[in-house]
Amino acid sequence: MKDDQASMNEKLNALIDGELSSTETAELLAVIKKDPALKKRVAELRRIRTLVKCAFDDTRANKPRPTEKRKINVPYRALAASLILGVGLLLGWTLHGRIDAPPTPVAEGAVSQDLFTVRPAQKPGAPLNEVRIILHITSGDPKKLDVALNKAETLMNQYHALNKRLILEILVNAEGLRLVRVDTSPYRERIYTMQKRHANISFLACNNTIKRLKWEKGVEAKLLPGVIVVPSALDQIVTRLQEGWGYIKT
Amino acid sequence: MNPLEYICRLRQFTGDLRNKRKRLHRVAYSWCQDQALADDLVQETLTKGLKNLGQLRKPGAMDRWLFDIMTNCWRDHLRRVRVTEDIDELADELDDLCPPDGGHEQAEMVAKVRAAVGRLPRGQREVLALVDLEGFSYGEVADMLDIPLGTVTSRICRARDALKEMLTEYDSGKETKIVRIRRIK
Repeated sequence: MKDDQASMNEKLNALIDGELSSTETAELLAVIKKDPALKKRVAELRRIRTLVKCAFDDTRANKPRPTEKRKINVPYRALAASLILGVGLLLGWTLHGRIDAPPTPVAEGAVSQDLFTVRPAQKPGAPLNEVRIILHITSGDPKKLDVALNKAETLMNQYHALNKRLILEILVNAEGLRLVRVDTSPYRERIYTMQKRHANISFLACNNTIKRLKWEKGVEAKLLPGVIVVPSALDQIVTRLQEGWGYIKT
Repeated sequence: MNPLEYICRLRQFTGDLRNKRKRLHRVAYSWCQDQALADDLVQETLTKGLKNLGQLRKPGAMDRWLFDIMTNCWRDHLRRVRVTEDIDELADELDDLCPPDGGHEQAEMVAKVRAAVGRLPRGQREVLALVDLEGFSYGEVADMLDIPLGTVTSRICRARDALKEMLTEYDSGKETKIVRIRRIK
């Protein structure tokens, strides 16, 4: 029994790490679908993986540290410095005039900037009169979706009345994807109106959910116009929290 | 290797150096949980990489090759110093760690996760970092660390199980915080 558990645990880890073949993945997903405990376990494993990633995302690699004696590699550094200098001279001599394009600077947080094309990635030092909230929807129940949209509109109106700018991301995953699918959304018109009325509202859909829908049910999710697809809802939430956004789950 | 090929390889090496350095540092830091040592490991790795650039068999596998070098640097370091720190003491120190933005819950979360990773046995920590932070396959990690594939699988399972246990406390705290946030409106 214990061996079975350990074996299943290894399979679940292999699943989230993409180590299983497509057949094994399909078989395991079918088993997971019927077992809420396994579903929960997979979600936990994914969450732990995301937490680890985020925790080491910025390890201050580029920041200077207080002066102290290096413990290793002093000769290597000297060697590297001379090598780099020599090779740099050689490169400059050989390649000058061949490189037309200017070098592209690698910005800090470039990854997160790539994900959100609506506006630049926001840093904690945002204007004081600006509030940023991510509204997370996981339910497909029309009543709950209605409540969530009401909440979004109320928030927009309240902050507008306070003369504050609210930037709101409505993020859907799991069953919540229903809200932004062309064929299942009970509030297509309403979403369209909200997008028109409030430039600061974005609707975001989780790509993991979209992919899972395709694997499990063979359904190709067509999304409403203007809906942005993000790689993972969980990653999005963690990133936004790190950037100082407020989080509301409905 | 002819000079032109070497120059191309060198351009590949230096082209995205900042990103390479950041990724190497992330993994090195997760292994040793010491900024200074992580810096040294990365520095040593890049220096060795630059010095031995001609030995790289497949130019497309440069990232993997650099992580191989860093694994060896890390092993060499452990052999030299024979680590004797008290793991619990290290974890307590890390509990106090506060990232640059400090003062809010995300900083606390980062510190907790780093501390939890720091409490893992070294073997689990190495595997976890290469799989979770760098996305290497189990097979690649087995080659890099020179351990059987089954060991990689079991270490990653045990590492995540242990992290889950250690982060339970954080979870309960997080629930409370979510409720607090909802009161904003």
